[in-house]
Amino acid sequence: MVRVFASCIWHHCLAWLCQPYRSALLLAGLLLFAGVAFAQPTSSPLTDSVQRLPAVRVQGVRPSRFAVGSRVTAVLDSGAVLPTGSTLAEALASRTPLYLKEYGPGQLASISIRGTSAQHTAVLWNGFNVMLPTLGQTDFSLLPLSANTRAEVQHGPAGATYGTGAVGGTVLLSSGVVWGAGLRGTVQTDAGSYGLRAGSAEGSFSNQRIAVRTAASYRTADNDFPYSTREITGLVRRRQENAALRQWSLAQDIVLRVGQRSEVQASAWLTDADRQIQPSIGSANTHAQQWDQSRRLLAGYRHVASRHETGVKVAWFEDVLNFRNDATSSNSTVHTTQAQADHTVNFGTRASLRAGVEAQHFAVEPQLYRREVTENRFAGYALFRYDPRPGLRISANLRQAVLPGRTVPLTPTLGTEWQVWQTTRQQLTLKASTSRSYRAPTLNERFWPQGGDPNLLPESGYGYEMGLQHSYTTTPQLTLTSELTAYRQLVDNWVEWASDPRTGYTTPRNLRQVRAQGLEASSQAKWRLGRYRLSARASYALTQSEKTKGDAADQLAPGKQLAYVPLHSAALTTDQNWRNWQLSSTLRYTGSRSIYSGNGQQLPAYLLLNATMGYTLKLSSSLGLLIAVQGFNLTNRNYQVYEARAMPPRWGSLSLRLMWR
Amino acid sequence: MLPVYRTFPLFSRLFLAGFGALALASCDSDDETSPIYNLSKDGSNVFVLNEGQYGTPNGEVSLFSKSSRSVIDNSTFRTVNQRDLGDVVQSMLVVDEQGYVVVNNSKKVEVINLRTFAAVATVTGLEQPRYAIAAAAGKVYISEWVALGGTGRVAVLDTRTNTITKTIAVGRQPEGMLLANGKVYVANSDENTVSVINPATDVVEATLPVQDGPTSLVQDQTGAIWVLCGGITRYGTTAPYPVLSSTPANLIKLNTTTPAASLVLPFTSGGASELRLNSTKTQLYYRYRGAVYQMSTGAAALPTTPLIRRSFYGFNIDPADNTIYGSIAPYSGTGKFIRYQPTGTAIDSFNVSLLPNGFVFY
Repeated sequence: MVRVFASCIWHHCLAWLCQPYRSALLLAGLLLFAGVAFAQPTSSPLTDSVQRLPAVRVQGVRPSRFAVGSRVTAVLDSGAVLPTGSTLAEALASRTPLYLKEYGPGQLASISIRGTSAQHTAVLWNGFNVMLPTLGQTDFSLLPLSANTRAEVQHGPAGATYGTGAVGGTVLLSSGVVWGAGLRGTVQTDAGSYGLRAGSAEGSFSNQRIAVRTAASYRTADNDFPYSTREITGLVRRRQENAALRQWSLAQDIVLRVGQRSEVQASAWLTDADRQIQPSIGSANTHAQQWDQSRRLLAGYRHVASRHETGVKVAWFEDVLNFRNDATSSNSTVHTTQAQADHTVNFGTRASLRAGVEAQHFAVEPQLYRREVTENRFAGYALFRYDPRPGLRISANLRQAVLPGRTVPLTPTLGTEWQVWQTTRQQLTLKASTSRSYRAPTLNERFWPQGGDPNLLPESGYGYEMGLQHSYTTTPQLTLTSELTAYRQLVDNWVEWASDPRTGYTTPRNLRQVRAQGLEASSQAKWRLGRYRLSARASYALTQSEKTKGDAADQLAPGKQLAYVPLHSAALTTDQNWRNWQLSSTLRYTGSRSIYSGNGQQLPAYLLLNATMGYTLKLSSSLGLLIAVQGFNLTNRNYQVYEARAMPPRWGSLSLRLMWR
Repeated sequence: MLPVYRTFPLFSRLFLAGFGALALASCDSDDETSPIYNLSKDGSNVFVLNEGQYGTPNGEVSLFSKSSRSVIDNSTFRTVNQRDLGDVVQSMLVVDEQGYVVVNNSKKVEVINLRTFAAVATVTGLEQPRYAIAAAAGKVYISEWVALGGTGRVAVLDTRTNTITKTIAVGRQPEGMLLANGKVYVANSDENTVSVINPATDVVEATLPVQDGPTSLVQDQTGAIWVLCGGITRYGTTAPYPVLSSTPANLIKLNTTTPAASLVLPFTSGGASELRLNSTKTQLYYRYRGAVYQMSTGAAALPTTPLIRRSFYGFNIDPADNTIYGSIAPYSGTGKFIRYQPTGTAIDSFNVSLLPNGFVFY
């Protein structure tokens, strides 16, 4: 029994969670302050200043400029209508061949890029790592799409550029600023099957001096969908229990130009999700419930001169994860304070050198580890970008992280892009990069009272990739862009939780070595004919990720594909527009995956088809109403993304979006 | 180069085990009358219970053949019944050729024809069921915790209809049961009592005081009842689940008429578990502090030297030859079991599935 109980503990320590309200007040205060502080300049004679401002904007060098030679997938570029309240998990799982391990609709969704685990993808919001420090991973179901206008996935290791966790890849979230766009607004409401109700509002204003954007969204769902399961009497239809959810997000960005060369940014992003935890098919409903709450505040200043550029940013996060079921509960609150400072020197337009430092301070409230735990991490980096001649780009980056009591290898990244062939209509670019990466041990791995190991080493990866990018403008109406990437990576000291016979505890150990290699191919066509526009994108990933070293007792034998890494996955998305009509579809194939149960059992492959049809009604020159119907799992597949977690059959939703400007 | 995965693991397993002909026959879909397994109750089969990952219905039964010294199938239930057995396979009772698999977190008992391993019935509606025992002809008792901290109960299963006919309230967290001298003794593991039920009337006739945390009971060759009390360790209900209190274990030779006159052999700490007997019922075995101990039923004190220094997740003694089966269960990995001679010398080991916790000899 003790072991059964211990297994619950283990389960919960994986499923983490936390505690509220104080921070909400603090936050409200800060927002108010920000509103007042930044509202002031707009009361000055704005029209004059707008006219007098030079056309050259305060445009800092984006970090991705130093990520030459790697593969990047933009997630939010298609303009397709997604239901309000949609999360990054849903967008990634339907529109890219990336695999997200989803424990049910809207439930925990963790990502696997290039055959690595959920802890091997860094998630950066405006340059700050927002992974939950206790678990060292991100639940993509907690990141509604509404909050950010830009979401990119950088594939492959990039330890020097993006820091800890950028082993399999990095997800970059931010909101780009469009200056001088005036006032815009959008309001959307959605209703769908199984109790889905959602809504959102987004308002933005920008002139040449200030840009403000506020985006709020909420979503509730009962998720009481039917599913079929085999019982002794044959196939039985049951209705999902305990899978309802309620979540909201509020994002606020303000960017203010100070003088001609500087800008000040203040951002806040609050997310809140109250979810019932969907039980496995055939398991007891223990009425598990999880509450995740994150408060993220950020302030930054950037000064851009002709040659020099300086930036400082600070951020404060509060992450709460509270879990409870019939028998147990678990509460955690972590505060993360981060600061970054960098200085860039531009040598003409052909070279840039950026040097920077960053510091992170984590404080875990005592209820989780029975005592308050703090940890400081530091890193210094140098990023260099050089374009020796047109068509040749090079970046060379270096980072040294400093973790308490442990040595972290120096992590360099080297990348190049070379336009090997160019005609008036075609262009072929060769890309290559190599990188070391690392992952700092999570706070749970270090401080969990029963089994945590403070001396755990950071994981360390070494990978390289090569790719070809081809673009072809066949006619002015049709352009084709294709990219093919091959990669290989070895991750060492991969942490594995294993039983310690001396203590009986499950303890993390640097046991495993994993080799991941594969291919990523994608092709995009854009075609215009009169008022008809088509954008189609096909992508495929071959991911082979196997253990090369590890614990003898590990159920995963050397040479076997890691659990929940599909060997094949593919996605085909189309977005069509004609007059006021739009039609989007996503077809997603996920190959079979081995599961933790061992015995060679595989979760079967599945094909999912989703589609959206929309019509925009012009109500006035500046007001439009979009009516959209969406269908999900249109072929009515009975499938599982995670073992024994039911997924909904065919379902639909209706969206109304009112757009001003 | 891509790895070649076994497309038909069942097939290859069967073939390797020397059941090639049988497997080929089973591939013939026209011949639905021919079962995949045809097991005889000759003592040559061992069912290894793989608990599975808590919260996921991947508990299974591994079929081990003593004669071929090999694991025939690590997913015996799925192979035959083409569905999941359930979440947390806790224990299994054999009555004649019928198996009663208690699936704790699926709140059910699967009734299995052990000749073919085909499910006969699913008994549902149980709350945290733990162990089953044959109480009388046509009657199986199933202990149920019901809810942590609350009163447990014993469900009465009519094996002719495979339905629960009634429940009997007992103490908190009833675990192991023993039929002895016409009475069923129920160990109430979250308190210090043993409930005594008359299986003819299904009435609790007495509640005997013992030490803290009784979990398992056996009856030796003299007819004496031994109760192993593991002590009670109480954990906080909130992560990181600290230990709030802990009492030591005791081995008791129960005096059923005057419980106070029982022989009580105290351990220095808690956690002793799984009291077993050898085939002649003259030797007791139990797990304690990462080892297995053996003790004569005539001994007046606990042994100080273990028989096997190894931490098992579950163990049992083969009544045919007193071979000791012990399971190793890493949380994240494939479990295995090791066989030992009665002297404690290791013989061989085999990989099974997730969290093997028990052995049933058939």
